[in-house]
Amino acid sequence: MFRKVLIANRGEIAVRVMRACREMDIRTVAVYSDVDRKALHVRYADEAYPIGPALSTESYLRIDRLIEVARRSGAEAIHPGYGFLAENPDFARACADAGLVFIGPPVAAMELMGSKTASRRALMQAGLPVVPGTDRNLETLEEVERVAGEIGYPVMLKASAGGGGKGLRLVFAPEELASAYRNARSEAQNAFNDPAIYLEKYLERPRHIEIQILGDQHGNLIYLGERECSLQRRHQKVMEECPSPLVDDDLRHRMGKTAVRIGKLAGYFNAGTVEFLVNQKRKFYFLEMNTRLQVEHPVTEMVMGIDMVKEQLRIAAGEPLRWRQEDVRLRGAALECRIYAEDPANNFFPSPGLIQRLQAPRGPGIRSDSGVYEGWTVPLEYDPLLAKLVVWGNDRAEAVARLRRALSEYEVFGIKTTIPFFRRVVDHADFVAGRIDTGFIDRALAEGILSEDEPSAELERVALLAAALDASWQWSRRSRPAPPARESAWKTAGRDALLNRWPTRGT
Amino acid sequence: MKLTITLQHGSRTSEHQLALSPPANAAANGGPLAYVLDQEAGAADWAEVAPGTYSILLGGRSYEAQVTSPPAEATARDICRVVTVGTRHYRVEVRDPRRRRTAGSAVPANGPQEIVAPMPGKIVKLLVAENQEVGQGAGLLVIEAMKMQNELRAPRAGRVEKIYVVPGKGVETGSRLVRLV
Repeated sequence: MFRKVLIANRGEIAVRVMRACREMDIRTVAVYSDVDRKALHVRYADEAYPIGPALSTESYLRIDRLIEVARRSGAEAIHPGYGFLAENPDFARACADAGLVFIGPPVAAMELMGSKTASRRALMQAGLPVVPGTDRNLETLEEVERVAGEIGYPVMLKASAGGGGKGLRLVFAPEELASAYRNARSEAQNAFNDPAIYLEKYLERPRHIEIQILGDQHGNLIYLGERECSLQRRHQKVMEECPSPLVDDDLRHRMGKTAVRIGKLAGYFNAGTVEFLVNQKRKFYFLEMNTRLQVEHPVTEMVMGIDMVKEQLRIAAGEPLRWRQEDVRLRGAALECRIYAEDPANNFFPSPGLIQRLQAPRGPGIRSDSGVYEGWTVPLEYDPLLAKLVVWGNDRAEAVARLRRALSEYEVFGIKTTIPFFRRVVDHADFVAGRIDTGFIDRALAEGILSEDEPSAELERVALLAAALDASWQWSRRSRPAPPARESAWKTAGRDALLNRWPTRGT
Repeated sequence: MKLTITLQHGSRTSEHQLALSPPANAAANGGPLAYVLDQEAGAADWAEVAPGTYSILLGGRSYEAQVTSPPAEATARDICRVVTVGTRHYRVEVRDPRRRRTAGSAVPANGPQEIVAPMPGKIVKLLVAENQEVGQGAGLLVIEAMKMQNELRAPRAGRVEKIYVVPGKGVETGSRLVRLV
């Protein structure tokens, strides 16, 4: 087993990977950009090294600097987390060239599955079900118009080098196609440095259901159940669950077997996820494969009772898989909310800044994977994911009730978060019933899920009393030159801190 | 001491008169409380359980209120705070009775408002024109920040008196964008 691992990432996933390493007595090496010096992952790691200015392209994406830190620290392996370089074959190759183990799949699998068109083509040739559409990039607007006409509207334009919900445009009618094509190309160019676009039929109210696969370097490959990720906003996942309310044993078995076939086709090992779209008639179609650990892996971990990162480390170290397919059992249900620094009342506008207060939920069945802490200033430069709130229950109903309870305990002050939005989602009848699809959130927002609370005279009374007590305390304290002996300096410091009088360093 | 408190929750703003007895002072951190709120007498029991966190019992019903300061709005005279009770956030302004009433309220219901950029970014598109009437929540402009395009919305209904930016312009945190009256 490795003695030292470098985590080429930041935020909650870096901390999560470090936790697995710590449990296995593996020393952890963190890297940080200039704005991350005080970040949680730096504080948590055994060793930490600076790698450049805030801009990702100058720090977390600098392959040369990461390899250099690995050399200097004596790390034997690198865990890429998700995002950043996790699906970059050049990075995996650079690790291999430097004699470092890349904790992930082989380069060839990353290259095949990293191109959406190449992977579609390979699967089509193998007779596997794929979302209807092209298997090639479309070079001209005329070609796009012709293919869209053949496939039939509505269609989805997609970036071939894409992921993470960017470079997508949904087109309902031919009139919209030209401008959608231009916008998709430019977004793809900006986000992935590759403007290539392909086209898929847009399925009616699809559900996004993905299969987790895990394979060792000895040819064993199994599936670990599914995750339902249909709750998305702007094509980005915000809530996930395991198992899917739609999937029964038979569908799970068929999708799982298909995912394993796809993995074997790619020569896959380590952890990966095959994403499918499932239509209202429960027919499933390959969407894409993610050759890395996913953000939402905890819901699978809670239901399967495994630690996926530890398995990744074991597989990368050459150990065989510890389970056969028949050993895999699901138990209970898990739900995850991605807590973002965004303001739901203002169109989910990013809300970076100082976290004045943070109190995460606790108690039975709660897991909180956080990358932030009270007093941390959320920077602008990166994805605004603060933490993941994951709950487990004996069944979905209990998990939903537990999530509702957990969200009511979650306190974050100083920045806006998506917590108030999730509180409304867990009360929505369709969500509670499991009647969800990829259009759920957009419809709920349009229908006013974020409408104002009904006024409450009682709660207003409490707010007024608290405000008056607090103000009186403030004024009486100011009018006395020194606080009375009974008052605790700790309490005064705490109060000052809370009321935004932190020792300033330019917030 | 009778306090005048303005309370704002969502689109609703109200003003209240509240007198506490005994008046809270720096030495106390809890106990029974009699009060008169908008001419109605009442009783409560209160305790400050952590800095800025108050446990308040009303007729046996237990509530907790967090008092925090909205960033960049600490004013020396009147107290402007956010009070969170359960999942609701109220903006409150408690006016110091010993001073003259200040000219501009920190909780402007109808005064002119300068809408500023909450973070650095680039203006992509204007959605309104000068002199246009807008409703609360109407889109004003589109800003590109943190790699995504975001629509900035009107915090309340009003008229766009002035637009300070044009598409393509880069803005810093606090840059003026729109004046709403």
